[in-house]
Amino acid sequence: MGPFDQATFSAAVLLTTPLLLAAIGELFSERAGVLNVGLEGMILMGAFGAYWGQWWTGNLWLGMVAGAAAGVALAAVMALLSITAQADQIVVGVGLNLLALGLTTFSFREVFGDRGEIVLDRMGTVRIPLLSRVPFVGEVLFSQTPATYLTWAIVAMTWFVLYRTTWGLGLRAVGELPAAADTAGINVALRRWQAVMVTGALAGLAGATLSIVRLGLFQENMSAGRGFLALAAVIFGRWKPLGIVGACFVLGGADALQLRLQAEPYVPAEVWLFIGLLGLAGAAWTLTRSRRRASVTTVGALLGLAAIGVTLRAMAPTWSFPPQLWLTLPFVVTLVALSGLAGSQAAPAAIAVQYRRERDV
Amino acid sequence: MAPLLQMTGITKRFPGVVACRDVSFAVEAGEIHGLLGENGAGKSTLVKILYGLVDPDEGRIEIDGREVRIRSPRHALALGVGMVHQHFMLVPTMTVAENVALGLRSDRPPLSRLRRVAAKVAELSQRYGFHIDPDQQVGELSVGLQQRVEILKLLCRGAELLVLDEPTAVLTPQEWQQLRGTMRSLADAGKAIVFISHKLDEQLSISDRCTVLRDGSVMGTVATAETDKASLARMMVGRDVVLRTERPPRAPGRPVLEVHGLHLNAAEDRCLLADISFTIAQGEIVGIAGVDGNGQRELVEVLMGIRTATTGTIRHEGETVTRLTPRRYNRIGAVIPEDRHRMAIALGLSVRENLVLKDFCRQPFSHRGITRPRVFRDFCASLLQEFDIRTPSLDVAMRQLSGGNQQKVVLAREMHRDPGLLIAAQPTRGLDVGAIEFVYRRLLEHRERGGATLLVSTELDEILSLADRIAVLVSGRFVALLENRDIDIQELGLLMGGASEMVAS
Repeated sequence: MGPFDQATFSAAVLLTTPLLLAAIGELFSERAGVLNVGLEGMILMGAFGAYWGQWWTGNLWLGMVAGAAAGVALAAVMALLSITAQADQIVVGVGLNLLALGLTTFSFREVFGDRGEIVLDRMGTVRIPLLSRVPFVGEVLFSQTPATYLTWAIVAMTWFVLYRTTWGLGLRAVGELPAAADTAGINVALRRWQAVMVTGALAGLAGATLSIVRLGLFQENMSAGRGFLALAAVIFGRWKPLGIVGACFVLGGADALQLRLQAEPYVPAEVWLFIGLLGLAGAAWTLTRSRRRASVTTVGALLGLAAIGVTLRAMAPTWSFPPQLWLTLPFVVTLVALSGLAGSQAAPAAIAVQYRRERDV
Repeated sequence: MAPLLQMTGITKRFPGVVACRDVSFAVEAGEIHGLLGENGAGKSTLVKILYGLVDPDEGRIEIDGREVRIRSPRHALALGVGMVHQHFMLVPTMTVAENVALGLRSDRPPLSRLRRVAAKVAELSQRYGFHIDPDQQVGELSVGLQQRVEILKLLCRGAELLVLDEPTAVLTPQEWQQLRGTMRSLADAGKAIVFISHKLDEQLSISDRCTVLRDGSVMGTVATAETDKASLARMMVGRDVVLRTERPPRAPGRPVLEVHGLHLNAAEDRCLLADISFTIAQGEIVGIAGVDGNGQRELVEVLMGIRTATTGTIRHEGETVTRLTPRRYNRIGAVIPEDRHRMAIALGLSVRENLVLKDFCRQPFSHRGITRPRVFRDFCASLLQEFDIRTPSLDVAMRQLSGGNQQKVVLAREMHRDPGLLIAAQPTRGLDVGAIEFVYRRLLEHRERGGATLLVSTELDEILSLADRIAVLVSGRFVALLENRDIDIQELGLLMGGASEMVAS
């Protein structure tokens, strides 16, 4: 199996956790019509807040709470500026990312600068009885940290809240047609505030899983683009909880794979086979999805990819790439996935649109 | 017994205008009460007061004999007053049941209990004969059905008085017939209905009583059975109105615009226009009838050079001009676009600037890139007079003008050059009777002078009274191209609804 072994899959699940938390959090904002570009900053705030909180209180779970609170704090600024003051959501979000980077770097140096590196207790894995004994799957899915299990519970709850409660129904209406929600007696600004707060809390938790759950450390700018990957995962997952789970596992898997490949002396032959199979699967999917309009170039390119993959598998060349190149893998996957979804119609209609009740006469 | 709704002495002033002056009227349970008036007569202010969006300066509102102060739309609904907006307040990506549930209090919060809501929708739909499936996505429903969903929403919330604000603007004649049936069955069930429309025929055919507003004041409340169209129009406008246009027969001259086999495809093979062929001759008005969204906008955009046809040819006076650009189109013709605010005028610019928008680059308006304000001024002054544009000055922003005056500015800019070809898309949309009369007169004068006109309209009366020939556009195709003789409105309505019958002209 080469690099596609149980260790890689376990790592994939581990790496997916923060992405999934952040993306599911972002889903709340976006379904309410707020495009929260400040997600990256909220994750970073959460990472620092959690580290600081655990160091201060000595309790990991209180650290998690502090992380969520730090995310919420930044989210409150986002909501205040973009909902209450009706500033442009994207401009505010970009600004908040910069603010979070500066704030966490500064605070980290102020508080911990002369103390040297303090490694806190990490969260241990908890093996779920029985389930964890299932071969392969048990190790991959049910021997993880409680933070991962919590994430899955949050995903399930998100689905329930969005589709089975009045609050979720109103939230979705606010993101699609705020005027309709308003006439139905829903306070649009309040609902959007609530949604952004939830996003902040979940993004903060995502940051906590990066710092205290996984490493017991904080590093400057340790979110390293994961907020943007999560934003992409929301689009890639077509604004649906299950779709986002799928998207996050693809991105988390790419991340795990690249980590693994960095350690290999040269590109393992299995990778070429994988690329070949990916090409074949893509061609088959294109053909079944849109029989009539499947463009010859698309299918041709995918089949070409398959051919190259299989050929390289057979040749098994001893090529090696610099690790920096492997680091880009999740981002390359994101780009490819998003370009394939250009012009998708699944976005909430009122996303990034301010709502102002008309009082003209 | 006290009437369900009694409004007494309602006055509302806005800076500079009195929107409602001492307005009083009453609506009984089981009654369909028409509210009639030109644009700006105060209908919408009155409705906003009733719906809690505007606070009146003076006057009393009584519901069931108890005086109330309506604070918000939500409060209005709690009092039993529901409103169907002109623009539907429906989320297209949600199901009917979800849309209805949105405004309801759940019987077991925080769960939304959609099954319960769906059952209630199905029951009410059954009772009033609405034929609505609660699990269907609203975006997939026709406009007429969406309107029923709006009414259902109000019924589920226990509305006793329904306010329908210009509900017919978006309907086909058949859908209007169905809406009439719906309104009647609601009234028979004891609901009161306030029906707002500036169309006289509609008021006469459905209302029990009708209150006419002009300049914010009530001109009177009449039983519709005892009145007629002419006297209602006189009450509304304050003078006699002639909408029956005289269209003297004339032999069409040589063809001005020839369109042959026009196709327009959007991405994904979706066909927007298919096999459109017609000619317009000098002194001829060709009308395009059809329900909104059947390709009218696309056809006009192809002809004015905003879109390029996939296949087909367009010829102007014998010369092939298929690959038009808006600039080239301006040299051969004029256009009154359907969406005034998006494509015809710049709301933030002054009246003067809007009037010269298509001429300022030319002699004598500018010379070597330098504009000549004095020429502008004289030119604009003469247009104001000729087209009877009412504006405080040439320098006020366009957005301050009423819809009718805005349209007159467009008309003036497009028609002062005496174009050989005119495309008029929905030229009277949103205008009141007086302004409509003016537009009709100008269109007929253009015809008299030998101009060719393409008139795109969803108003069948308009098409029937102006056009020499009528094409019916359904889903991007002509289902008929007829001489305008002995066609009645029912027949046209059936064709628009999709009954296809290709009749050679």
